[in-house]
Amino acid sequence: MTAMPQPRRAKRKKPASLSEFLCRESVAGYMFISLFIIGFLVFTIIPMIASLYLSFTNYNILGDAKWIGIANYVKMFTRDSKYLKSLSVTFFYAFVSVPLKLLMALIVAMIMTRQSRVTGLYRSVYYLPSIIGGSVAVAVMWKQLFASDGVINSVLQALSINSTKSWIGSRDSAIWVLILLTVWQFGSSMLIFLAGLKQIPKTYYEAATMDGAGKVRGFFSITLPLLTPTIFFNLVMQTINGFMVFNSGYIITQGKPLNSTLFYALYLYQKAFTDYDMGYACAMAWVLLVIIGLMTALLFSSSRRWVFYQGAR
Amino acid sequence: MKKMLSLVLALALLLSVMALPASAETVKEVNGGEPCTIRIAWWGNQTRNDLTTKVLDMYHELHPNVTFETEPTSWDGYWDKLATQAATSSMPDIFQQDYGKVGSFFAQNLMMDLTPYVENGTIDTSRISTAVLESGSMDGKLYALCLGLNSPCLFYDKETFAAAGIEAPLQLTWDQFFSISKEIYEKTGVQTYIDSMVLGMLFRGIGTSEYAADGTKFGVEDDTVFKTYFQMIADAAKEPWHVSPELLVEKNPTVTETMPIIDKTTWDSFSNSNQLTTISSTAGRELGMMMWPVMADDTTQVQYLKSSQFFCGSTTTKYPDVVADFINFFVTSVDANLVLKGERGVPVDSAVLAALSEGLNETDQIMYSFIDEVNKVATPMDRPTPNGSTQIGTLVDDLTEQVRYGEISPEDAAAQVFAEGSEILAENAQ
Repeated sequence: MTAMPQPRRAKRKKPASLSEFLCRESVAGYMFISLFIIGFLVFTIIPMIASLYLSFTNYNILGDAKWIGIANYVKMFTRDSKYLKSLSVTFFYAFVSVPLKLLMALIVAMIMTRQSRVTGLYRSVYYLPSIIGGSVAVAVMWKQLFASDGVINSVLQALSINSTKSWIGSRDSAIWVLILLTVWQFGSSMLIFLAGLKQIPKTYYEAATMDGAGKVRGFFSITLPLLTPTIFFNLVMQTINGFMVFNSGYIITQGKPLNSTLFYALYLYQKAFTDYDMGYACAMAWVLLVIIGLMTALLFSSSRRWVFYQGAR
Repeated sequence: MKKMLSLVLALALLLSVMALPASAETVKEVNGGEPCTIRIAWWGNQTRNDLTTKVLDMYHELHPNVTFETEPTSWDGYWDKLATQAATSSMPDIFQQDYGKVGSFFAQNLMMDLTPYVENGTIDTSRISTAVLESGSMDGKLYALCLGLNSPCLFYDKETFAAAGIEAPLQLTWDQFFSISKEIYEKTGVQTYIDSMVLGMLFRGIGTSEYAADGTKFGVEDDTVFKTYFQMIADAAKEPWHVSPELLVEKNPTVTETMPIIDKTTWDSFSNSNQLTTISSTAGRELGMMMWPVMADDTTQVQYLKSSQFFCGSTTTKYPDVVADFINFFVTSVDANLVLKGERGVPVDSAVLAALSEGLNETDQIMYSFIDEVNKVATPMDRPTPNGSTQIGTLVDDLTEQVRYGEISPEDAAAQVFAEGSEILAENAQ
């Protein structure tokens, strides 16, 4: 009687030497990623934990951190009107600039699917702002453009519209100047849309044309549904970036006029490095993390309703 | 014969030895001649960076074993950087210090005690006035040596005044300020800017200070002075001769390059006297200096002389002797200061001041004669500002902006500053 031979797990021999140990595949794997893990721990995880601790303290860098419990969080939501203003400004900015940006990206991507000799050139031209747009130099230039003696007003004068309005100085238009700056940087989203558009099989369009569908119907019934994964991706990425906006506010308006451009990250910076209220700034940072996390979670849970994945799920 | 020769040789040796002391007078060795690197940090602008680097090179030539690592920044980033370095115990060996921060740095034991070096003669303070030394001392010990004196002042554009045909007096009353601004605007179209720093002067004019001695409350019982200030801002904002708040967003007055006086948007700039060289050269034209305006019914002269900035050594430095010797060189050496030209303020050492007063260019002559005038009438300066004063300053700036845009009435603004400010200051009592 022969028993079924049990599949035997390859028994691990104890490594005879250090070099044998190092040659094991798993060890090699760990060693390769150890560099990243160490960097991640030291520069991201540990500072995050320190920041969480500091958010429950009163800390002004030159002295010691004094534990005050949740006082910072309470103060933020009950006694700080500037904080609530910065929240509303940032939400407004994110909810307006992200859809506008994606809309522009989609429109331009649709136009660029038409193959012609110059599409390559235009692609680079539209992509350029998104690479250099976040930089200080562009922000300074943008400030000049929209100043009361800037280029925009000169162009309007040339078109016989008498305009000496200070676009960045008046409280109703300042935020729109900053929104325009980020919408101008639609290039990276556009490239992703282009890639998504290319993935839609042409056969669908041919079948639709044979059934008598026009271009518009084709767009709404074929392109859009099949593009939803790309739209979803862009939406999540741009929303996260939208909430973290800092550069343009800091360089162009410094939060003025009348705090209409006081972004959350900008107010955090002011609290940390002008008022030296580090504990409060850490608390603000963690609240921002929670907000962005919630937004992302919302987007993900809603994606089940409207995102259509072609492959099996 | 042999005896003769040995006698002559001994005499020659003696003579040559006696000649040595003359050359030993030139430069005393520091750090025992061992090579060392000194980290030095300061805030400022390009002009100051260039001049300071030249002086560092001069010191290096005298002491070739000392090399410098410089860490200059602008005013905005300086304190963040220093605070971070303090937290990580990596402070520079020598760093520039501000009058308002001596107290907090002393409380954290971050500055080296310079008194032993004064006592042993490394730092020569014989030609520096006691008042100046006291401004950098805590508990009777010297921690920071003053680099220059300055005074708050009102820069004005000489060309604009000439074009409008107006004589610029040394000190205006606020009523005169308003009427001159109106006249200048009507004749030349150049506007005016009233900075929020005038608030401090309003307190001095009535013989008090913005903050109480213990820093736990304001120096006044009610918000009358604040009301006067905000009313002034509101009145000016209504006038066409005051620059519009929209324009102030574009032309940030806190940064030298974008100040409204640079491109003649305004004729005035409230500032400190040692900024004359920098602002004049950025503007590309000569500016005049006036004292700050006073209220017609003021009891006290508002002008004061201030120790503009100091150098201090860090408690964590490895070369305290070199630090002390360098600070002495920087403040008392005539050669060094002929290069620095009082860019950080009028020199505090009387020999240096005398030497500098001879070869002044036009711009510096304006500054030195202004300081001279101020010296005749100056009243003592305020105490360093207490904890929470930065927050109150931000609050005043925010409310000033709101008043300018017409969002809030001067009375409400004054009440708000007084109430919230008192709360912030009361926390200092704990």
